[in-house]
Parts: sequence; structure tokens; C-alpha cells
Amino acid sequence: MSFLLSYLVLATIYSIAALSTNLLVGIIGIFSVSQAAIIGVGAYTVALLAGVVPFPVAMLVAVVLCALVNVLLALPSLRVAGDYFVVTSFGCQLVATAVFINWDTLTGGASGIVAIPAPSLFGFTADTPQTFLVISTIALLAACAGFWLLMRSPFGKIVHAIREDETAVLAAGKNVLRAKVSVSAVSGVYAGLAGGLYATFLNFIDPPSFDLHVSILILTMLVVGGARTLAGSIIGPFLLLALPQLLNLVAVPPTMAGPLRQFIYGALLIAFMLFRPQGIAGRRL
Amino acid sequence: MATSCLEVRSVSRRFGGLQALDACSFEVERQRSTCLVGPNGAGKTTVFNVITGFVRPDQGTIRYNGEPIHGRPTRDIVRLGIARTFQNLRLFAEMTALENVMVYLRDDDGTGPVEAILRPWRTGAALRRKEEAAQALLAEVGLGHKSGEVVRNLSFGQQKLLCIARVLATGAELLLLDEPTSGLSQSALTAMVDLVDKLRSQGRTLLVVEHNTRVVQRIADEILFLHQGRLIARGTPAEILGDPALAAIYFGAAA
Repeated sequence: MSFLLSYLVLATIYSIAALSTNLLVGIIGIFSVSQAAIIGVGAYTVALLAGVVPFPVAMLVAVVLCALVNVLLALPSLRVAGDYFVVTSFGCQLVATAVFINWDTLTGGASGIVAIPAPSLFGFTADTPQTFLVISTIALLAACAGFWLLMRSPFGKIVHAIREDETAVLAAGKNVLRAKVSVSAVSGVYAGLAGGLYATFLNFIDPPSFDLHVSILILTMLVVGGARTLAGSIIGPFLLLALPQLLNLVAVPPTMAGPLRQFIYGALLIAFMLFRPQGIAGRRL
Repeated sequence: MATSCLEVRSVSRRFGGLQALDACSFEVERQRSTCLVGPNGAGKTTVFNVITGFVRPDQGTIRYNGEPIHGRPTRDIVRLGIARTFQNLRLFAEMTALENVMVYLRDDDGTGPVEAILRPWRTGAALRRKEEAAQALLAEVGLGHKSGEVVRNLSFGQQKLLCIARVLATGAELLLLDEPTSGLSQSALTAMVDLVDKLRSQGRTLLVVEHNTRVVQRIADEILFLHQGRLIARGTPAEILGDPALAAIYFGAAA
């Protein structure tokens, strides 16, 4: 039972992370492979502040910080086009991981931060998967509502148009820079939210939780679920996080489970790109 | 006498070894249709690019209603009232015809992300207003029945009409049309020429790059003849198209 609940909580958290990535990669066309780094910034911020200030304050700081960092990391995309930005973003991810590992006075280095207090809101402490699921579900619903409202608005149409043809949006007299910065900021807010929830749910974080593999995992979730749509960002995480649980059911030896999971994630990524690039419920990237 | 709204003075622009514009000067008169003609490589599209701020002139000045606009960002220039179409259309292919026009609408209501999330009803109202405005523009160019169609599924002729609807959406006074009839079938060409003629009779100011001399004859009040980045002649269609020396440059260089 607790297994299922933990899965549901993680799936809601990863859905928020997938929405964050979707805004950049799917919607406005900034192909970031460093979203895990931003989520990490949010997670470390909340982990460090959780015992010091009330949980909502820690979350607020994390969300604002992540918005700033995400805008900063997305800025090269204004100068460097398409494929080149992927390499830049890859570099950002490596730098972030190096910082998480080596700034050990702050981050606890490779051993990470333990005993992160559970979130508490209005005297109600979410220290069980049941209670946490309430919080993470509310957070996901809020994130979905925000995403939906943004996408249907005139702003959302401009953002989609930028992905299709930035020059034509400039010719419309629209402020492309402002739109890109805004989307990056919102994406950062989502990443911070996901990171803060992740840290307080697991009570433990370390550098591998936010490394390149995790960025790729979130991208895989997006590809499988389907980019650009709200549904795709939810279906992907729920499906891919179920995979390890399914492997547990079919009695794979424990030493095999990890590599097999990576193998299946990779195979799924290739298969979807080849046979269904729009994913289950999305549009072609 | 008609007054000029756009004044281009001694504008030069070099791309590597190519002098695309060489001290090029001309005016565009208000509420008139001016056609920019000349052989390939004469600098016609570069003229559009420098006027709209996509390319900075190396030298020279451009004034619009007396205000200097050279070197200013495209966004400011569109706001001041100059908008353009592109030879290669640059439509948003995965979006609907209606959405393409909505993105180009001048008013900035609902274009902020914070407002979109925190004031959903206000944004919803702005959205509906924009949909109505865009629908009216589509009807104006004869695409009223295609508003929900994704651009990719429109015919080439319809796509070119959509470009006109988009440029009208900016509310600009001066419209720069880059080869509006190129590549069109006879029926689509007729529809486009009728539309441009309608805009002209509505008193809009047009600057049109056009190759088809029959089209030029129909839509131009005045012709500017560009050759090797310089303005070498200007006059009425009868004067320019009847000049054998210009015809030799035009057809000779094209051959």
C-alpha cells in the first residue's frame, strides 16, 4: 500500500517536473537538457531552509531562485540557436552536478543532505505518503491549471508561434525576448516546486538525484507521454515510474533491475522517436 | 500634391563583398501604391529588411513621418506603423489561420503570463475579442471560412492571402508586401491582385515588390526601379514600363 502511495507521490512530483521541461522544450522550443539541475537547486534550497524557516517560506525562496537560475541558463538560447544550445545546456547540467558534489559545506557533498523535515502547513505535517499525496496532488493541480491558463491565453499563442518562426513573431512587433524570459521563469517556478516537494518527501537528497540521467529521464517522460500537451506531461511520468514496480513483479534479480530499467527507458525513447514522435498524447517535437 | 510618409536617404548596406544597397534614396507617398521593381539581386528585399529593422544600414537615414527609424528594433518600427510580409511567407504552419492572425494583432491585451494566470476571466475576454478581430480580418481577405484550418493544410494561394491578413492585423499604416503574387496559379493570382487593389482603394499606403509587369500595371500608382542597389528611375507605370533602356536592364539581367 505504502509502495503504491510512494509511487503516486513521486509521479505527481515528476509530472510537475515534466511540465517545467515541457514549457521550455515542447512549447517555446528551448531544448534544455539541464532541467534536473534546476530541480536540484530547488531541492537543495528547501533542504537547507526547511528546518530554519516555515515550509511555505522555504518553498517560496526555492521557487524564486529557480526562476532566476532558469532564466539565466536559458539566456544563451537567445544567442545560440537550436543544436548549439543543447551543448550549452549539457554543460550547465555538468557544472551543476559538480557544484552539488563539491560545495560540500553547503550541499553535504556526495553523501547529500539527510533528515530533511517533512513539510508542515497550517499545523498539519505531511509525514506519511497519504498526507504528502494530498499536498503533491494540490501542487500538481495548481501547476496544471497554470499551464492550461497560459497555453490558452494570447501569451500562449505567441509562445507557440516563437517556436515555429521567431522572425515572423518579431515582424509582428512582439517582444520575443520578454516571452522567452517569461516562459523560462515559469518553467523555473515549476522546477523549484518539484524540487522542494522531492526533498521534503524523500527526506534525503544527493547529487545523483539531479544529474544528467534525471534530465534525460524527464525528457523521456515527455517524449513518451507526448510533448506540448498537458496530458502528455502527466501520462509520461505515471507510466515510466510504474516501470520499476512492474519489474519488481516479474521477479527480475535485484542486480539486474537497475540496468534493465535504464535499458528499457532507452529503448522506449528510441522506439517512440522512430514510430510515434508525437508520443501518446502530444505533438511532434 | 501627395505627401511622403517614408523617406529613405542614401542608405547603403554591404554583405561581405556584395554591395546590396549603394546610397539608395527614395520616398513613399502616403495613400499610394508604390511598386519596387528591378532585376534579381537589385536589393529589393534588402530595402524591406533595412526599413523594418531586420538589417541595419551601414550608412544613410530612414525617416517615417519625420521620425528617424534606422537602427531601431523591428518591434518599435511595427509599433510606429510599418509592417511587412515575407517572400517565403513565414507562417506558423502548425497553428490555425485564426491563430496566425491573432499573434499579429496589435493590441497587447492578455499577452502577459502573470495576467494569463492571475486574471483568467479578463484574459478570456481578451481572447474572445482577439478571435473576433482576427475572424473579421480573415473575412476581409476571403478566408473567413478557413479560420479553423491548420496552415499546413491551406493551399499556397490561401497561405499568401493569410500573410496579408496577418500584416493587416498589425494595424500598420504602411504595408510592405514582398512578392505577393509570386508562385500563384492564375485564379489565386486574380484573388490576390483584387485584394491588393482593394487595399489600395481603401487608401492604404503600399510598397510592393513585384515581378509580374501586368500586375504592376494594375496595382502601381508609382514605380521605383532599383538596379545594383541604387534607385535608377522612378515614374508612372507607363513611363517606366515603356522605357526600352530599363526593359533591357530588367530582362537582360534576368536572362
